[in-house]
Amino acid sequence: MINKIFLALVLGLFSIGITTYYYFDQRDYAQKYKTVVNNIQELQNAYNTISYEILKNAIYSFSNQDEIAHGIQELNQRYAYLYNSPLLQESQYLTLDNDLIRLGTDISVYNDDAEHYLMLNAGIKNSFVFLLNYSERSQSLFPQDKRIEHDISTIISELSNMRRLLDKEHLKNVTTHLQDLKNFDTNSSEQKIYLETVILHVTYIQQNFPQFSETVSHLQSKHIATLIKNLKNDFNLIAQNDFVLIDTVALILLILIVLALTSIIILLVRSQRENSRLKRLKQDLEYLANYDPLTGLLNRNSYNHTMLQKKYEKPTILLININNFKHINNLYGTEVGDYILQEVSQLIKLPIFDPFQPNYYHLGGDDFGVLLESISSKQIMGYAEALTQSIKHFIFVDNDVEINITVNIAINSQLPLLENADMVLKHSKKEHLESIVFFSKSLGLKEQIQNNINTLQSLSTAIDAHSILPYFQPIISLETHQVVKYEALVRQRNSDGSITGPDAFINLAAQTPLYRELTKTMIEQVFEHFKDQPYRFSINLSMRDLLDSELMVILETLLEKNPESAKRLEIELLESENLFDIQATEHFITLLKSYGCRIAIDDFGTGYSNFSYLARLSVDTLKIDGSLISKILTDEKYLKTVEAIVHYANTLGVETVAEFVETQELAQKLKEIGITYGQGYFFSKPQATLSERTTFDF
Amino acid sequence: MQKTFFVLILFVVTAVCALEPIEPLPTTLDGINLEKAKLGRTLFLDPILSSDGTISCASCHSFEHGGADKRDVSLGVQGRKGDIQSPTVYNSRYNFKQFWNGRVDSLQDQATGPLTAHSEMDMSPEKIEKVLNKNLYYLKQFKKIYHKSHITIDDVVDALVTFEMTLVTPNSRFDRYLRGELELSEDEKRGYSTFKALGCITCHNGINVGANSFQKMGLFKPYKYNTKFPDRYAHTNKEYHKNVYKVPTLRNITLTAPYFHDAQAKTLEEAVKMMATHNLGISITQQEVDDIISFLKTLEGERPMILDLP
Repeated sequence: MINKIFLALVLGLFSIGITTYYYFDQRDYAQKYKTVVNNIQELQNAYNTISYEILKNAIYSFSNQDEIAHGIQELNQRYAYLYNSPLLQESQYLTLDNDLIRLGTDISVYNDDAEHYLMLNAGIKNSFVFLLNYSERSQSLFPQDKRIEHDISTIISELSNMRRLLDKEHLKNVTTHLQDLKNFDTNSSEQKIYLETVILHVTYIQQNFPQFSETVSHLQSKHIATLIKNLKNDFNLIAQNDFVLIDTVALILLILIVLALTSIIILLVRSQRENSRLKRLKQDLEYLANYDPLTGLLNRNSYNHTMLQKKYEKPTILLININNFKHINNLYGTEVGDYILQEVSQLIKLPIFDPFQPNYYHLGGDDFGVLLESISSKQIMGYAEALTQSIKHFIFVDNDVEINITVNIAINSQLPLLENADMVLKHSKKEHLESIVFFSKSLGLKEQIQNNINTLQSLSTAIDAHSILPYFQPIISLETHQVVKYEALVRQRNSDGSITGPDAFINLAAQTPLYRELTKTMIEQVFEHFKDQPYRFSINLSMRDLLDSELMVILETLLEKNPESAKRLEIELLESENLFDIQATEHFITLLKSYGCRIAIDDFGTGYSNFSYLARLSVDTLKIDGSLISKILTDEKYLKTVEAIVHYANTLGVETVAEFVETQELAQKLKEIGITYGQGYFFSKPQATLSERTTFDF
Repeated sequence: MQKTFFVLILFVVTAVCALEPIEPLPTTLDGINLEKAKLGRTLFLDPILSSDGTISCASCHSFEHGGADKRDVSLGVQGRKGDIQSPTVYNSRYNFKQFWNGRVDSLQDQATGPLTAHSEMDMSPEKIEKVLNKNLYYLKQFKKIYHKSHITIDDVVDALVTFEMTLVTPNSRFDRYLRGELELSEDEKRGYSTFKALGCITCHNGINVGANSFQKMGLFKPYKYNTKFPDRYAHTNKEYHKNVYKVPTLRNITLTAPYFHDAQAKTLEEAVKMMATHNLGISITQQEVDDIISFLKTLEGERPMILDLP
């Protein structure tokens, strides 16, 4: 491209240069040519003038000779111009030199002839005038002699004819008559003078006429006219070649200029095209920068941009999240996922938003946003409800499969808009709140998050500082009143010495790698603690722990190292875990049992309580959830439920443990029902050391 | 015979009917740079242009003598004698050639002649430049007019020629007669007729009443030939140019005695008579002489205006 521009530029400059040079050159040439042609013409004119004036001079008695003098001056001057003209000095015109030199010689001769002619003509003309005037007197002077008169008139006649015809032959006759005059014997001095004068003039004519006629014939030869004509023709012949050359150069120039122009035009068209291509590219890029190509909605970047420019005075955002979108993608494939995103992107464009300068965004993943201006919370609540309904009832059809989805919507008008909305949305999902939630500062979500961060930080510090401790709560046989085993419970010792229970941090930790550390240190410490104790002891493991193969290796290693302790270990599995992987659990139980461990189901009777899997899993103990236990004294229904669980456990040969035993009455009642063990504040709070008592009376 | 006569009569009639062969001088001059002309006038009058500082152009072309010299030959520097009678500088722009023998075509070429002639002003172009470039007045004048700080011979000649171009003597009685502004007296009219009839007009015609052709002194009756005078032969070496000179102008002829190249005629009457004898080959009556002189007097024009300008 650069090369082509350079080429066009060079071509353009070259043609401009050549054109300029050519213009001046041809102008110069045209000027020189005109000068030469003009001078030739003037030369011819001067020659014609002289010829005409000489003729006039010959005919008229009196004539003004100035014109002849001027004519000759002009002739010489023009010739000099011509001879010195720069054009004729050029090589191609050198062949004209012969013509010029011959013309010059002839003009020089012509000058002399003209001068001479004027001299001779003056005398001859005057003599004729004189003779004509004078002859009349012969009659009176020579009355007796007619011969004189005859001689004189014959002489005049002959001379006149000679002058007119320019024929010297007439002089022969003149000579004899002149001799007569000369021989005449004059009578008087008057006669003598008369005859002498006549003889003088006739003799003058006689003597000078041959030269006069010769001069006149020279002047009339037209030789110069022919030479001028030849020069003109020869010159034009050569000039013709020059003009052909000039024409050719002009043609070449024209072609050059057309070429340069064409290439410039082509380049212009190309650069125009390139420009529009770049423009399109820019538009595409701008589109991509601001729009999500899948849905055609504005993207996160555009949202940021809009917010940064503060285009909205009182903005409100609707953050819309598709529930379980990950499952849809997994189940139906991403193509269907994309199709749903596209449909949703259209569905969220409710006409009711139109008065509020809506902007619709696909903020990424399964998040959509609707940005609205100055909308009241009452209005937006209704609209959001309408939106959830319309999406809920919309049937997405793909290959005859009908799919329904639901969305959660967070509404927020408080800056930072999107962050707050996102926070409240996550919170609502986690807490399974309403499908439509408002962000408000009173939710304290921010503080909560800050607290969480603080909690995790102090937990992390605690792990590092070995401040995670096991506390122990005795589990008492309701039959024998003796301490049978201990449940190890995790505690965090804070820097001020205070002790924090797991509720404060366990759920948070479960979302972080800290959780493994927590479990690990617990297992290790508990093993160490019960190494030399006769008691059975239990540790709480979650489904998550079961699935953590690394943790499982640690556990197995400990079991192998402490085979005696292993036989006293009971693992409490949380029944309330959401995702209960029954296979993994079975595998785990089988593994643990091979070391002689026992398995308990914790918090039984809540969550997804399911009797069927109890049958499948070789469980040794059921720990009945405290929320059931605490109500059996007051509510018959709970009593019946617990009784049923106990009955069921007995049938399977599984021991039962009642939690939250807080009163003697309750302990009595539980004993009555036939529950195997009890634990709770009635007996002992969890403590850093094992209880000093081995029996508890009630 | 009859036929011949008829033809001749027709000839004469035609001639009479032709335009007047003499043309009046223009009354105004075009294309003259007056500043240059005035500078030329100063130079023309300044003897600084001669080798001994005694001779100016005007010494031999006196404005008191019709632009000519009343002496038979002019005297140059150191009293050196010239070789020919000084011709008038008046109306010289209308001469077809310059000098008695017409050896140059233009006034430009003529100007350096007397300036460098040994017997006249005896300078050289270099000397002239040297002298003038030392002269503050001329340096200033030339600088003003030619815009050059150095005076060159070309500019000197240009100034002189420009001045000479203005030396025109218009409004003579005859010119005014030709223009129809006045009637000539009987004598004058007769004189003009005689001038034509005797054939003087054959050579003395045109705007300058002569000075447009060469002629031999002694066309019919031989005239004394003296080789010391530079004749046409001295320039061309052609035999028939011996004793041939430029036909002189007759304008202001009354002011420019003596006459002829050799100053042989001291008076106009003598000159007319000698011309009749030698160049017309006729004997002329006293009446005819008087008439012709009456006519010649009408050719005296006004003194050139430039001479009286400040």
